[in-house]
Amino acid sequence: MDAISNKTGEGGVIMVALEDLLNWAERSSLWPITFGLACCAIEMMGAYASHYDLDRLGVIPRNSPRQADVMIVSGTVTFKMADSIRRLYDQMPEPRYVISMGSCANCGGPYWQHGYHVVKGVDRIIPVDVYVPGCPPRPEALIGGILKLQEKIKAKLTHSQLQ
Amino acid sequence: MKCYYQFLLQNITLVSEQTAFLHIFLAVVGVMLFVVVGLRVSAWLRPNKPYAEKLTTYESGVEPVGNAWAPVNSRLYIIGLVFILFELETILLFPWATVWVSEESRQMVGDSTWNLYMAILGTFFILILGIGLIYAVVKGRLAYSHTAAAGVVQSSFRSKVPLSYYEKINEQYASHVPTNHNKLD
Repeated sequence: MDAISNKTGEGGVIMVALEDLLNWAERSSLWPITFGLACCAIEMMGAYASHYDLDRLGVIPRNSPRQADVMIVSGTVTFKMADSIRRLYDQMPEPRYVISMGSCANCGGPYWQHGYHVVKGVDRIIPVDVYVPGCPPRPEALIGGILKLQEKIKAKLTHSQLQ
Repeated sequence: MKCYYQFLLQNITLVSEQTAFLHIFLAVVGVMLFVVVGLRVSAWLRPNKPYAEKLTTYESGVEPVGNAWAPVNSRLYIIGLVFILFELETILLFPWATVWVSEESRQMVGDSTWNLYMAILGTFFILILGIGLIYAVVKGRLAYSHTAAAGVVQSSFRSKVPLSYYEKINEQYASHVPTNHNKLD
């Protein structure tokens, strides 16, 4: 209680709109659906594990799209996988976000020219919110992407602002 | 809340058992309220935009095919029955062993009589199930892989994937290939 009152000077009581509260809850518990496609997934697993510990940002991997808020597309998206990605994205409940991790997911990466089997950017299938560059990006870069997504959610217009 | 409990304890000491049940009842009601209110409030707050693709069965991104009510081989049922039988045997041997070492009956009928009685009882029980197991083995009930015994003809699995399948896939994705790509062949 003391820490809060020192911080805000308002005696530990914070008055917010319900939408702000929901927004805070939304960005504090970004649960990604586990979705490892290629070597980027190894970096993503590293970010989940104790060394980088994404749990402290409220990022807990889920096994079902029904429980997920964000899809981290980590790796090369082949045409064969594209159907599954689209379907899994559709099965996630709103509000849902997509982080495109690594060059392959961003634009096709090294398969840009000759990769007959690779989708040239996952944003041609599903709407992407944050792009994380790198080949593969380090866990720090993925954490940066998640922080960027949190900023994006924080800056989201509320219902009343939209009208 | 503490005052309430003190009130309860002071006034209903005579029916303490009923008080305990009252606490359990309050806990049950509290849990029900917590669950119902929690679910209703979250249902009210969250956006709800259902559409056909979202409501499909989750099959790890693969299109769900067929019916979940698929027929199960009836031989699995027999193996399941035999399994349950021997699981029950294991469970029933524990009280048998505990009763054997207990002092109460031992003092009533005498040491040697009790030991003999319990040994015969246990052996009889295991013997009956042993005969059952031998019967199941002789009848071939445990031979799950013996498909010939059940009159099932196994088909050869060493079949090639028809070349037309590749053509179909290439045709399907021909439109996805960007036009400015360098031809490899």
